[in-house]
Amino acid sequence: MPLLKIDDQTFEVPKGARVLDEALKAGIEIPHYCYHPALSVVGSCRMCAVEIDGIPKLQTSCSTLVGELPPEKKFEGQYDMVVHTRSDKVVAARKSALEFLLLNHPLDCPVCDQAGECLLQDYSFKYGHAHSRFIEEKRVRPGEDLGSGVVINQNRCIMCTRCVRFTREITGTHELFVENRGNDNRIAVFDGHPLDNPLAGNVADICPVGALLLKDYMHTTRVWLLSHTPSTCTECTTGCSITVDGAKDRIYRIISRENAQANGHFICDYGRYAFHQYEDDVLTTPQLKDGAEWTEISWEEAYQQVVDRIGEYGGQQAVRALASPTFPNESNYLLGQLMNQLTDKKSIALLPVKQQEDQVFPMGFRISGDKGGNHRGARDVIHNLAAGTQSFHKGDLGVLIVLDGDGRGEITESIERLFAAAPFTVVLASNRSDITRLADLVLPVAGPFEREGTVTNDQGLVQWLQPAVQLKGQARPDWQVVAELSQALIGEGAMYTCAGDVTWKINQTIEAYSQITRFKIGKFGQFVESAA
Amino acid sequence: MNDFQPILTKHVGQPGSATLDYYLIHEGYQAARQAIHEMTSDAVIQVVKDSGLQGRGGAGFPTGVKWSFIPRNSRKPKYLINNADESEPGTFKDRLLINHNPHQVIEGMIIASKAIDCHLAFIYIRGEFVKEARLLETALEECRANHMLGKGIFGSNFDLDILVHRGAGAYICGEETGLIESLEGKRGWPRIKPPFPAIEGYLKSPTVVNNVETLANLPHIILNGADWFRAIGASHDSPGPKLYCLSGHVKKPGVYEAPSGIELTELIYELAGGIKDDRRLKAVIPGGSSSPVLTASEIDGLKMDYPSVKAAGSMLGSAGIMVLDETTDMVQVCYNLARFYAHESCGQCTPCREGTTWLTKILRRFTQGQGRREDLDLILEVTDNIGGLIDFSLGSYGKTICPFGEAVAWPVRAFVQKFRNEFMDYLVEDAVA
Amino acid sequence: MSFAFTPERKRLFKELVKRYPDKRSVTLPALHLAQEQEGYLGRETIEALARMLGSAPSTLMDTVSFYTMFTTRPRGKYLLQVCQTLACSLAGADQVVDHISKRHQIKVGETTPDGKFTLLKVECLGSCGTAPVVQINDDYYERLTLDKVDRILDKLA
Ligand SMILES: Cc1cc2nc3c(=O)[nH]c(=O)nc-3n(C[C@H](O)[C@H](O)[C@H](O)COP(=O)(O)O)c2cc1C
Ligand code: SF4
Ligand code: FES
Repeated sequence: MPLLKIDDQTFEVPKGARVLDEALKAGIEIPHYCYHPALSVVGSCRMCAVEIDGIPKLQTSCSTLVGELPPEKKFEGQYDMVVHTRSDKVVAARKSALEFLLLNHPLDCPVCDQAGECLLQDYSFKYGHAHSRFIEEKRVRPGEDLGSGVVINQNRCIMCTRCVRFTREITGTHELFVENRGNDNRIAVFDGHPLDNPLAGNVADICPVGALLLKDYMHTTRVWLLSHTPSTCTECTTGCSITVDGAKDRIYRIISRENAQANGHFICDYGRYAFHQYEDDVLTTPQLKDGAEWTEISWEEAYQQVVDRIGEYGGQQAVRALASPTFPNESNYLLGQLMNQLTDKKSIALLPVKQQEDQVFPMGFRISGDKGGNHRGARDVIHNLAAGTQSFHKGDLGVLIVLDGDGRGEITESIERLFAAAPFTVVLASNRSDITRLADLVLPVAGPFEREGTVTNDQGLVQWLQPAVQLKGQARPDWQVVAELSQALIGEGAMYTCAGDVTWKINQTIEAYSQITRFKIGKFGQFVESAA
Repeated sequence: MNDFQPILTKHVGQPGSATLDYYLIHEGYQAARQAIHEMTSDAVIQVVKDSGLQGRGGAGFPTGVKWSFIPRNSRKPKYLINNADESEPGTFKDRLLINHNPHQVIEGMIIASKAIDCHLAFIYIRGEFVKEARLLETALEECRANHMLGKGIFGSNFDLDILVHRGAGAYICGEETGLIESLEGKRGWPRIKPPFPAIEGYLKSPTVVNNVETLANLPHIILNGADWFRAIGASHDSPGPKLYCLSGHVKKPGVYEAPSGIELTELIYELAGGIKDDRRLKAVIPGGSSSPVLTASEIDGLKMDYPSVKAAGSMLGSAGIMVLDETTDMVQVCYNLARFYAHESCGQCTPCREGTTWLTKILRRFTQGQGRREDLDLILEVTDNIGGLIDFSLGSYGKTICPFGEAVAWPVRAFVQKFRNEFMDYLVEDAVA
Repeated sequence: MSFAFTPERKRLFKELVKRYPDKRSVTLPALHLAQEQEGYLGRETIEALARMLGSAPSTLMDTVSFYTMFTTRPRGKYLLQVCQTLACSLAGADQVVDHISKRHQIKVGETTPDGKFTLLKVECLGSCGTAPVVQINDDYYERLTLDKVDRILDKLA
């Protein structure tokens, strides 16, 4: 293996390793704009220039690969490449590249949404000139709407072409292109063919400066006011890693969190904007249906209702339940455990969710058509799961306990029949949905961005859900409500004090999850043991 | 020198010189026939290596050596591209070769194709040369009709076709990788190297790009041998006949063929008839607009071959010699060229895209009498930041993907350094005083 | 305003597709063919060509907009392109431009109201030895003097 020296550190690297990648891995900062690990290498911004022994001209580290030298040619008798990232020449080159990039760039950081996460701002601060030597007239161009909720501020664009390469290489939709030549170069869409693909929002994430902006997020907040919560998207079974940017009580945006095991670098726009779906019709108190009216009741009253109704309608043997393909493993597991103790029948099935076609993009990104983001996990952690609800109609059908489908629950014919037949239905949900409308009792629980626990994507990757915002009103964590129900019905459940306790219980009782721990899941997830 | 007979331009001006019939009577296609029938690829490469022929497109890279980089056992097709983009200001020699003797160029392409085992070659000609493109098409048709192109040329089992491909107005498409991108139907944004075209060029296949004039030399080298070629001109290391384009303030501008290494003063004062209106010489741009300007005193005894001009702090480049007399306003000249480069920058790399326009804006301000004293150093710094410091002993120091950056930085730098006092005349305080 | 090649050009286009090793390489030739036919490359033309070349209109526009010879807007019947780079500039290109500009009362970049002439300044036409030069459509007119310019334009008028 070639031996690479960068500044005063030495690494053994595979042949063909990229100097920039190796440096970044080792925590050596080399500023760069045009390079993006998921895109082809163009080496055009010139920001990542480094000095390499034996080559008089500075080299762009993004396009320089490490080879192996014959023994007699090695540097200092051992290195295949010796790279300097802090030499005077390198520092001067960076400074000048930045100066060039800033010539026409407006000094509007105070009003720019990118401020605080702008590589132009960061690098100028670290590597740039203090004053502009450019006294000529700046190039001023109007901003434009590119489509799919993305706008461009042309004056801020530094022509790194990441966005163009994204629509060519990742989505294969080719909406963006470089128009004109030289200093007139600009990012454009062809008249009548706007940006229009379900991954479009990523172009704003990968824009290293504030040129591409999401209309949805523009001018809503300042990035330094936000907390950044690493979590997982449950909108489909791809299970992308995300960062939820929010303040205490509100989510401002969701961006992709790079995870080679899950989504790679990107997320889709359904996931990106999904949080808006949970902003309205939020459930904040337990509610009991009283004829056509809903009455707010306390949690104690709510649990008492459940106990009373079970007594009234056929006892524990008659209770049936629907688990949720969108809720975390923890609440689904506890519901499964409860049902298996209440009855000796197959008494729990999955709420069906809407299914669509998979969407697969050229570089492999897949938006799953299965919108039950934790479909796999719910199946994995529930013992004795019934394939459907037909058997529920045999014999007595008493109280029905349902975990909601986060707006994606589908009211199929059999679901309709089941709700109609059940004399009393309890639904645990975060927002009003088609399902809650059919309920007799609604229990407010954590929504997708308030939940804690694990979810398993369709590849068997178990990832952590981290609450990003506070629960609204009297809503309680989903796992906790199921645990409290269990406590009320069978006197079990009080031993769980946090979601992690349930995760541990799953680890102890579900064979395939015997390697899954909060610690091992970490930031990037842990695969379940495959059955094979 | 006096006994030198033109080789490449021998037939220029003869009636019918562009036709196949004319060419065939004058030894036409004998060299190609010989290369196809009697020589191996290696033999062709060897004789061209031995001849010392250097590429005439600007960089002066040894042609035979360039060919030898083509991987022999690659299963991919190999491509030859004749670079007829001729867009470097001051250069107009390839157009002459095409207009007066297209078959000489085509014959050169057949020989080069044999050398690198190419079966489909292109002539990438600048889009504005409409007439020349048509002329080449006609010449190629003549060849196809006479089995000199197509399947089994000259009765051999060697297949070759040549396509004329017109550019569409972009100087950067003369740069070989910009050219290849353009040929592939894209914008002419030069590629990062490596990989070099010899390994991954057109359609990711091994590709050689050669200049028109380079190729035109080949029939003569094959017919007369490497030693004959080496003996032409003043320098054993940089031999051969060479086309020099003289423009600007000379009495008889035009293309002159002379042995490599001819003295610049001889070209200006004898062949081109001296300075127009018998004025005094101020400066010469010796090798196309990308070469740093030389002052009148710097050209004394200067030999026009690649190493000598380099030693003088400039470059032979495309041998586009622009002569500037004593009345020339060097600030205007510098601005004119900077504007050209700003217009032609492909806009891919930061320093070139931003720097060329910045320089142009500063220089325009000068031409309007609005220069500031500190601008002179600023211009020098900006040129350094685009093209790197000039140090010919160390080779290229550029900071950009392609040599365009150097091509603008070095000349601008030379103007400001060598004619600083003229720039001082345009300072704003002087205007006020 | 949809675009289609004339039968003759269609044949030429198909011939080109056969001769080139890949379709996208036919881009520049196809654009030339289309612009010769239509006078400019309008939106529909680009969309139609993109379909023929198996590429996206945006990708084709990326190429079109890079090259100065391609135009997306109609121009005059005669395109007067005066070279303004060094050799021509030294030889009086500015006077040629001013002269044409006055003669036809158009500024650089404009077209005469009768649609006959469009005046442009362009960069080096590769004819520095015979400066100053104007390219009118496909032809070069070299060693210009103002008289010569008048004679040429008189003939075209
Ligand atoms: C900006 C730029 C413009 C160029 N223009 C031309 C050109 O118009 N014609 C040409 O033959 N070479 C041109 N070259 C040089 C080519 O890149 C290439 O080196 C040459 O065609 C190789 O041919 P040769 O080895 O026969 O000289 C240019 C290079 C640069 C950097
Ligand atoms: S140096 Fe200039 S012309 Fe060459 S690739 Fe960079 S931007 Fe383009
Ligand atoms: S990151 Fe290497 S040149 Fe842009």
